[in-house]
Amino acid sequence: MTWAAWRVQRSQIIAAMGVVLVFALWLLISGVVTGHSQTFKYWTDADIYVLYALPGVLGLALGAPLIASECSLGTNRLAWTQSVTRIRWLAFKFLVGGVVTAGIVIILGFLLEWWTGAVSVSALTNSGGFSAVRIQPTDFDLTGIVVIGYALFAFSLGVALGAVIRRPGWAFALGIPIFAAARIVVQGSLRAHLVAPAIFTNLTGLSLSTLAVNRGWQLHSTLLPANRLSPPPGRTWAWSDYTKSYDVCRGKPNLSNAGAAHCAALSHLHFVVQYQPDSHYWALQGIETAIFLGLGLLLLGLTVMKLKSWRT
Amino acid sequence: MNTPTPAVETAGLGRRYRRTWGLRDCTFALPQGRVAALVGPNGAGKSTLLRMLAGINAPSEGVVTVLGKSPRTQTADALSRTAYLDQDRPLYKDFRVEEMLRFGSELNPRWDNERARRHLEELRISQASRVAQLSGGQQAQVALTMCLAKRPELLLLDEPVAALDPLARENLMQILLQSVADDNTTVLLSSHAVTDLATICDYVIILSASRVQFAGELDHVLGVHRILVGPTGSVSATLDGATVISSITAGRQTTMLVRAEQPIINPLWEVFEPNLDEIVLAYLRADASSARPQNEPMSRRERKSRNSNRIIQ
Repeated sequence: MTWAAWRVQRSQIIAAMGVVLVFALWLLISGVVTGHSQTFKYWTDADIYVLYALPGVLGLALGAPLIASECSLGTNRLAWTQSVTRIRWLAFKFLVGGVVTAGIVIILGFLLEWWTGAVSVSALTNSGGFSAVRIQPTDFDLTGIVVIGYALFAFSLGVALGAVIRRPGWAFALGIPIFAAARIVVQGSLRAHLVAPAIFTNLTGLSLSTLAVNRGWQLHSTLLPANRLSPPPGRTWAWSDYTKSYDVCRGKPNLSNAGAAHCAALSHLHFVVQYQPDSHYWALQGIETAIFLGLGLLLLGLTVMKLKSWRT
Repeated sequence: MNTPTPAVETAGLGRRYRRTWGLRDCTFALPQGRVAALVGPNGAGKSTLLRMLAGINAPSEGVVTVLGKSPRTQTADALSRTAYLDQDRPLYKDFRVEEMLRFGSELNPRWDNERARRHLEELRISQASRVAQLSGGQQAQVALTMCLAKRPELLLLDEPVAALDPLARENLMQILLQSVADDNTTVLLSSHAVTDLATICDYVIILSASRVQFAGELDHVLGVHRILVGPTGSVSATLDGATVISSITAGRQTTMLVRAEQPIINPLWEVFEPNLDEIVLAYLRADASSARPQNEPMSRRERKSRNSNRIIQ
């Protein structure tokens, strides 16, 4: 039944491969050109947003039609009256579609990883947004294995929406904001704390911070009382909370680093930087991928329940 | 009790879509090995009934069993015993014919590919052509072939002959009869072409206004219905023991189709035995003039024709 499950999705898969091929070519060309010239920025900000959206769009494009286009074309009345149950038919199609999605995304992921590396030098000179610091969000989202998690989650989301809405276009359209919301929530609120962040302290702030901090993802940096590594209960990380006397002392123009350190010591304050170091990269990648894969499985379960509930 | 399981049995079956009842109060028991005709006007609930039997839709009320099991059962074995042809003849439009057959063989354990291939060859439908390029009739034939090659115990066919030319119709009827004779297949097909059906079916279900008006063996149907011809005005509101299905008045003569358990002895009336066509037409005529469902107002044209028909019920 694998052939049948594949053949039914063939046209959507080929279309998706075609679109990804176009992006792959663009990545290859821009990566090579930018890598060689090192001063030429081959992309615009809009292009980058597309790259971030690509795994999700790919997953939704293959997932939304899985059940929905069968229902809207009426072929479910053919497929569901052969000798296999609806669940079994879904299982085979989901497996084939999921494997294809994963395969395309894995190749795309290699390409994206290479690309971020190739353009990062030019990015530094052109403030293009890529910092060659892989744990920072701009790079994190395009490298490693998270793209696989994003794409498979989007695939499962498309299938689930298609099972409920039963029109592939609407399932795809609704999937986009839901996927975006999930990504924003995980990246904005969860990712920073999936692994306990590291702390760095000194008296002069970021100007003399270590390599680890520079190659990490800075979450917060502020002046805190000298005996604390995190804000006191009820207080936030906002800069202005503790700095009155420090500001008065610091107010002298052209104060050197040593002078600033002296001011901090006087006010019983020190700089605290909370950050995710590069060493946490793979842990964060793994956990975030697991989160999205888990969500995908949950959606698959909901899809199965919907199909079984009979009122189709 | 040693009676064999009916192929299809329903009791009080109904399905509602939002506020309209597509089918209501449907009760009948179709024995195995019959060729049953499901007749009725458009919108009577034929497709609704067939889809519930096929397991596509769930009933809103009532009980239905197909080959002894609820269509809800959905095991691979139960699914393999029933074949369903939908009114829209769904096929995968970008498939070739041979790919449709391969699809069938992969999804059905008892698939008879030889039979399918031979059947399509006789119809001169090329295996390599794309489904989208076939004519409507050829697509219908392919869809039918998919059902027949499954070798089911029960065939549910929704308007199988609608798109076929007369010769193809006759061929299909022959194939169905052969299948019934060889494998004791039960066939339930819906159709408007009552004339064709009358020659091959031995069980009739008449649907009208989303209700079963009559369900029974062909002999029984023919046995209880009579055509009465007599002078207008001599009919009483109710004939003893008989229900008037519909009547047509032309001047001083009224022709009625009645359903009567006892023979009608009335000197004023001539009694004829109707054939299946006339019986079904009478029911369809009755449906056309009966009350509409409340959310479907009658058009002006329909109201005028109803008044001029002067139906005596």
